[in-house]
Amino acid sequence: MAAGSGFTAAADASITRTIIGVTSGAYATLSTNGMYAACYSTQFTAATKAGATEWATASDGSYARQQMGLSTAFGWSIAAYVNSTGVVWSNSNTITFPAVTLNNQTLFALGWVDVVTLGSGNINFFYDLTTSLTVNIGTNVILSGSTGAVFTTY
Amino acid sequence: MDVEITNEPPPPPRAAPSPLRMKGGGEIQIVEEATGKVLHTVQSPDFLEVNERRLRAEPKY
Repeated sequence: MAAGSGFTAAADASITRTIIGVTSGAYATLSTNGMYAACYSTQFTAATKAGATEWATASDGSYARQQMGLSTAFGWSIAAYVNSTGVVWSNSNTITFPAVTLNNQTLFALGWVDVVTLGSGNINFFYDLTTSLTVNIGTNVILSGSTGAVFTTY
Repeated sequence: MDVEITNEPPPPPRAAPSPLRMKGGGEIQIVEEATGKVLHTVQSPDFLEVNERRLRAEPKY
């Protein structure tokens, strides 16, 4: 399946309903904690933009969603709109997932969720990798500041 | 039948629809915790494009 990126299918629907003023199914405004990065072992894919499988503590005992930041922009640097480029935002802070324990993991996508609790919340946007990556026990997944997560709306 | 030939330019193409679109990507490092050694650096397929956009959008001082 082709790798995708951007809003999830659910975010497409909720944002559309919000901007035209439909209350039912509208976008859920984030809490005061901002977004959390999450690791997935399958792709969302370009076509469906949904359905990826998140890592779980049953397989990686130390796995946890990682908060992007605490400041006003919650860990994102947001540039002003630029003609033919759009609005660009990227992670301000380096995001480090805990070193994998119990079992090697497969990384095929990153997603951003609006709550910290595993199995809960809305996945708002994501990016897939072209091929999956094995993350062995004792290693960390790290998203470097500015380049680990770069998104654009246009 | 006579055919009238004019030199009028063709009409401009219709403007493309402009939905809100979004894409993203990133560079991921896999690092050995004990040593800090970077084992892999992987870029998602859209990374180069979105990072180029990021560099264009950054204010220049």
